[in-house]
Amino acid sequence: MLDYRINKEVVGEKTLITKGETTMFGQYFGRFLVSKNKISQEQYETLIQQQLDSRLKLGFIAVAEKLLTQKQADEINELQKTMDRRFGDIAIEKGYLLNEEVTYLLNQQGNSYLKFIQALTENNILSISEIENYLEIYKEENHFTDSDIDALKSGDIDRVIPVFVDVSVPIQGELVSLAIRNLVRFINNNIVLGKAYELKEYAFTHLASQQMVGDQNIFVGFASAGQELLEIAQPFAKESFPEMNEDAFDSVCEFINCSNGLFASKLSQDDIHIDMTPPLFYTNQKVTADGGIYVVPIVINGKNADLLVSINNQLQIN
Amino acid sequence: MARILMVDDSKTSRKILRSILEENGHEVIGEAVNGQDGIDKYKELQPDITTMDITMPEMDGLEALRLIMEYDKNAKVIMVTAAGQKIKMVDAIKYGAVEFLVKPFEAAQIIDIIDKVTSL
Repeated sequence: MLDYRINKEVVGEKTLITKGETTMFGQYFGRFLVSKNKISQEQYETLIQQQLDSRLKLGFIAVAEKLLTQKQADEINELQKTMDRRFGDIAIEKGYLLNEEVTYLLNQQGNSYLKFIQALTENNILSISEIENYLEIYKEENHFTDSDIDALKSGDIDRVIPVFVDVSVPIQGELVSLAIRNLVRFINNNIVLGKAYELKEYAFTHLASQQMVGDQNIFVGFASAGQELLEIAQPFAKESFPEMNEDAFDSVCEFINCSNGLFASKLSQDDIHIDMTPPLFYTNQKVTADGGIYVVPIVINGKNADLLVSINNQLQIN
Repeated sequence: MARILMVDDSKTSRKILRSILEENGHEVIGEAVNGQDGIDKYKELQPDITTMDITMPEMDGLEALRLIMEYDKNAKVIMVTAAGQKIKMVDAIKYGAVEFLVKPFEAAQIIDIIDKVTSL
């Protein structure tokens, strides 16, 4: 069932997403097409909006899923103009589709991947075969497996996270996964992840962070090079901030505090006890950790931020 | 309707809590930003109920709770905690906290607890 909570209440900000519906695949693949100059940023934004507004046509899905040829779909569309019959009924009558296949196609009508593909073809930007070629390039360039691509198409954040994050690392994997799920839950349900990486030194313009101490010593932060953390601050506080001022930082810190609290609660079920220290924020410094900082790039509403995590490491911010 | 003092270092947290309380007919008579500030405002305002964040800089909520209970053994202090602060919750009960609010806030939970504490 679609979730129609209003997701963005910030006044004065241009937002692509107005409903809780996911546009996940469109955001990943669409940004790739922008990077290849195949579509402009403006087209990308229009496509995402169309994806939200559109309903998938059965004929389009049938062709995309290779159950009908384009010619067969066109023939049924033409017949529909002369008779008050549903697409699926005509397809069955003509022997093009089985009952089960029509049921399957009807179940795909909310599929966000197919909606994005439909928006691309209806705007004559790419044909289905061109989309398949670009999807192949997208897959190769990012070293994605078929299963990774299926995860992205699914729009299911729990399946998408392991594509970008090594969730097998004890504690760190769970912490990062929960932080991302909390971003989706409390901030914006259409975020785009980048491949996570590790480094020893990270320079930032803005950083909101919290240390948790006890059985494990854990550092969690959100950082950005510019004003991007406003994309967390504003939805969480339900307030518009002109820039990353003290109030905006307070909001990001409070979001981190809530997210970490939920994580601490989960750990305590495994008899691992940690305590949260007051969150802190910093500007124009760098964070260093001998044992490394795990960085997860996250695009929130088109703005790039990073989630930083470091566990049981000596950490310095200066 | 209860007269409530909120003690929390996070302005965002205070804002969210205030809006839930006021929308449900309660009066927020004061805000404090750390434990010591909370004690001072408690003595000054004599609220019906105090909401007290646990994790705060300078003086944390547990110490403030302890000192408020020393000052007024009938004080009704509701501890505000992020989930997962089980050990501190046990300490808070020992010191005399009447209830807990767990972040992230849920309006229904807050109002139930305030109603329950008001009727004590």
